[in-house]
Amino acid sequence: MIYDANMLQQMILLFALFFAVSLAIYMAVRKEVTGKKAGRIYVGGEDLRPDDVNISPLDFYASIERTLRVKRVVSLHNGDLSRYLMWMIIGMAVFMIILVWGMV
Amino acid sequence: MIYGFYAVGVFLASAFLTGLVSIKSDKYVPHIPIAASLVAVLLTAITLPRVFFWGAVRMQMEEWVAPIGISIVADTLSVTLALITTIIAFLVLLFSYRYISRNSAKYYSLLSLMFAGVLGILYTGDIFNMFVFFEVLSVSSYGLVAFYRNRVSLEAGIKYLIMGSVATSMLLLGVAMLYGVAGTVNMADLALKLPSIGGIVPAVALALIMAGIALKAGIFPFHAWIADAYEGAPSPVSAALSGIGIKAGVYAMLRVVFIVFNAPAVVLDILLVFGVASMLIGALLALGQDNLKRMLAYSSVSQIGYIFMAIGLGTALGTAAGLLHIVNHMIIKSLLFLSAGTVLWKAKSTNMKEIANTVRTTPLMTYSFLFGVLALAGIPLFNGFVSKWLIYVASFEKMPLLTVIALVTSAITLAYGLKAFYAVFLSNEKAGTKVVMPLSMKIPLVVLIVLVIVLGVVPQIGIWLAEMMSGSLDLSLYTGVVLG
Repeated sequence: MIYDANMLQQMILLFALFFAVSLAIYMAVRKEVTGKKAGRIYVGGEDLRPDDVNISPLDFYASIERTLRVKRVVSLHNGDLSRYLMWMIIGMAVFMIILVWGMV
Repeated sequence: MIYGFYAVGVFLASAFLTGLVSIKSDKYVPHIPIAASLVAVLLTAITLPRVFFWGAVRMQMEEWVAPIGISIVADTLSVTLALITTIIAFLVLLFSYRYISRNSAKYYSLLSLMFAGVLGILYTGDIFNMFVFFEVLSVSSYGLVAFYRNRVSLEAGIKYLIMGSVATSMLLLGVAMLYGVAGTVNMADLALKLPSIGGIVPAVALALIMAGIALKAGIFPFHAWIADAYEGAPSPVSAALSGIGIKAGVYAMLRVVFIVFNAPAVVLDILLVFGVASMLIGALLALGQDNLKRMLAYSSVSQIGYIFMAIGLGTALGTAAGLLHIVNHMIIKSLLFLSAGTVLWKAKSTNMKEIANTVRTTPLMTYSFLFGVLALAGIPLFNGFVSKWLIYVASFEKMPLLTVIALVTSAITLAYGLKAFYAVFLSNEKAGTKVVMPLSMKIPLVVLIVLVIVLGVVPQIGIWLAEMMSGSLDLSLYTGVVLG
């Protein structure tokens, strides 16, 4: 046997249990939360409007993209066929150098 | 007798008949490939118990003995992948029933050819025959990518054609070099003869073959065609290319590396390094996309990276984990592309922010995409978790740093998946027209969701499958079956 599936099964069941409990709590609390009027948002001595504290999820992902410098990687994939072909040839050359060096 | 191999003939007949029937009328064109795919599922399902319980079988074409004649080999790996392939083929064809309304004869004919090519690659025991089936797969794919004949799809088709042609040239040159030094193209026979052949030629041939197959598999730095091709192709074709097409490349790589060359350490190291690079670069590229199909395309590059990294570890657990991730990714990516297809069916753009303004989604569309994203990121209760867990454990045993990289990549996977989910499915409550999906589009989504959940909740099935498939990469067993 390559791996004991029982431990994995127990982990999955435990996760399912936590998920079910979380869902039950959410369903129970949801009625109380929805429909209530939002209170005043007071942070750091300032009154904030809801728009000031609601961050769009897409903006959140944009910040991750900036942190990981994704744009730089994406800009290399500009659709230039000759560049893609060059990558292929370089890739093949790397394979060849490593294999000739390692196998012969 | 390998009944599963006759599925190749069934799909070839379907490609021919589809064109023939269309001369009279296009009305019954889709029924032929759908019926053919059901027959293919049946033929493969008949072969499965024979191989799983009594071992691998070999069949010779036209009764020419091995290694002279072409060997057809059915083992646990090829039959498992063939079964998933035929099931996905059926679901993709069913999904296309209402999705494709114009030029349907060309579409179904090319799609049938593509499935025939993939199944041929899975069953063949002959490396030149593998090249021929790769050509069948590739030529049909070029046509399917350019199917819409608009600017985007034509550009994608031409790029894919040029890059694919360079790759197949490398593959053919590598096969020719092997034949030149060993005098055979039978994979089992090559495996026995190559160790006694010295010199530089086998290494150069392997490099050429690996480079050729790497493009088909979409591994870094041969991955650049993927985003354009998947964006230009109709969504069911993207599902077939990602779910089935590139897996044929992964499978071929495994056969060549493990069977023909007996997995030298340096080759496994190459798979490991390029796998890690694909995993990370694919995930970063996917995160940076605003286009839904391009995002899913780069995500495939990343997941193929996981597979090669796991196999490159060179351990039994790593190989099993990689093989299981092939199966899981086939199902997950088909689900994601088909659920994206339901949205793109009525949307005028593939840009995530623009889709939200034109289409109002239904719960089935929303949940199918969400489950696909969660499975892709390796969240428990979904099938992706089982294979990714095995990859984490296998990599931790060999090099804990790889586990960290794999975990970080999974986090990025979740980030781009949820970004797309939010942009397409949660931002469109007010705008757009509601998509009314026909039953032919709902059934494939439901079947794939069931598979994603069942394989995730009962990990024993996946682990058993992985263990059975790993046995197929044992050289002595393979040569024993083929050469007797």
